[in-house]
Amino acid sequence: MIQPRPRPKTATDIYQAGLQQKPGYFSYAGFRSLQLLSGTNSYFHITHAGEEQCEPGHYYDETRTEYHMHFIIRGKGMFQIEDTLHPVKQGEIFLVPAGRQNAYQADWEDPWHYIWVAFGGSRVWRFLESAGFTPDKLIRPAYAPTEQYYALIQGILDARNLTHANELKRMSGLYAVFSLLTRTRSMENAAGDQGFYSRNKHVNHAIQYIQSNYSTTNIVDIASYVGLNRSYLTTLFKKEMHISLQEYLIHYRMEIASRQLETTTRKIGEIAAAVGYDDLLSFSKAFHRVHGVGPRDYRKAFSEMGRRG
Amino acid sequence: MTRDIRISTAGDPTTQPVSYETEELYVVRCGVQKELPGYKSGGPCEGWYVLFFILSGSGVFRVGQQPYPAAKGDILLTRPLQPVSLQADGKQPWRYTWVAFGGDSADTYLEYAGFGAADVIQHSAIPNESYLKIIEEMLQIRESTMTNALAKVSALYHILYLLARNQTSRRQPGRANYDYPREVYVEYAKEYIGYHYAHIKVMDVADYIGVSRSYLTMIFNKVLGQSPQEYLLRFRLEQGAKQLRETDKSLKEIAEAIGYEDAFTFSKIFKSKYGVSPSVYRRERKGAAQ
Repeated sequence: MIQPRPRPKTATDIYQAGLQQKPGYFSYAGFRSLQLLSGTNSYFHITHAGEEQCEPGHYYDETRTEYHMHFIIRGKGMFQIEDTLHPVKQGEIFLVPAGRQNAYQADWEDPWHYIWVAFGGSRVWRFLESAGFTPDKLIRPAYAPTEQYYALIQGILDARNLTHANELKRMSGLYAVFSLLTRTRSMENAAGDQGFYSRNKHVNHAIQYIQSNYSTTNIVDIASYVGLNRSYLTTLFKKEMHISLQEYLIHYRMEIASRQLETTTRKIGEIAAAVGYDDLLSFSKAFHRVHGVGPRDYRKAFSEMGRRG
Repeated sequence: MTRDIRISTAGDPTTQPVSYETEELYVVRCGVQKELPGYKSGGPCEGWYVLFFILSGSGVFRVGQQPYPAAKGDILLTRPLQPVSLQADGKQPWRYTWVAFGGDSADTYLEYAGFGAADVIQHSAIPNESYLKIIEEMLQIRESTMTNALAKVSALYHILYLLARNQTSRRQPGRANYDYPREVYVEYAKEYIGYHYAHIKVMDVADYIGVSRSYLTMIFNKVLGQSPQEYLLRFRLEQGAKQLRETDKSLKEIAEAIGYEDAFTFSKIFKSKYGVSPSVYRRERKGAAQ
């Protein structure tokens, strides 16, 4: 377990010691969010950010009310969560979750220099999970050069003045940090599968994309939009929907076409073009295959039904 | 079809979103458009908030029956379900970039950006190309992944940040505009002083929290009944007194730790405030504690 040797009393004392040793090495900002001040429930908000070159053996053990994420730029140290002790080093990220008993200490020989950002809100775990953290997995490699995180967090620190504009800038920075975390986290996964969406969600995305872009899209577009490779998406789709993606697209187009035949007097050529067919013959063929009759007969049958009804 | 007379100048302005990962703010669509002379259309995204940044040319924007003539450098806003139409000028049709978005906090953020509930149009304080640059980057983000959802909302926050920074100053021209209740600034200043008291002047405090020195003085007097100068001095001396009581550090060390050049200056100021010299104070208090 971590043994605090000459242990400083409070964060302020440590801070003072740090300042006197290496002025300029330390920066710290606590933020105010108007939303929080007004007592509104927050989905996601930033509360602090900072940079610290720790003294050898620097030690913290506060149980936090926010989530503190540390990006180690240089050096190493130990991170203890409840009864488990983990060594953490340069190029790694460790997360101190709100409300959990923890302690962390800079190495005595090679103390860490880290940047950190603290945040809270009801949606924190959604973003943390997509960034590769779980309540049991609180350490991960940065996967990207730490300079990239450093630049984003410096941007947040620069926006410390209390203005509405800065409140927005800090949130922009926080989401950029999480976008980078999520992007680099996907490098862990099998090639092609950006696994942080469930299969079902990929399929839903494909369907919603078709519904919005049915007249112009093709399978390659859909796969590129969803972010999966083509053959993986078609396999996934078939498993989930029991119909191939290609078939689904054709069915959806013919569904739209049949509705237009029923409710408008547009020419068949126009309707074909509106659902993505330049060639009337291939449209008629596809329509026939889906509805059992050609478009002309379909319209005729429908209008007769209407007259009779 | 009307679509073929529109010219998209970057990416695919019709890319549809499929889901929203963030509730307080999210991007729906964005695009860049150059219209032909006289071209008239409805809004690109009527269920959402849409910000338009006019890049060149001019036209007329209508909300209901109310026309708003707009030209290069203007920013327009439509809100969800407002009946709007846009008509490009017959001679110099406009080119504009737009972003459609939604979210629980959209109204609040638009207010920060200088768009009150009834506001439709503003003249941009910075070239609209700054916004174009961000939107063009967003148009490169196509795949529907969490990474991209977060990158887009980050970009949208950045747009709103630029608006809030540049447009709110227009609201009350010639006057500094402080966004937060004065108690919040005072609390923020006190926290900053708590960390930095040994190394700072009042001006540093004002710079840090982002207000003028005179405003800081005014709110300290109103909220705490003392000036920031007095507060800082008192805070330093309290820290000095605490160290006198609780440590065996020399006077010189304590003086330096709380930001005085030497023990003599510290003693003088301490005596004027507490009525006794630091060494007498230490002797009495330490003696009393034992």
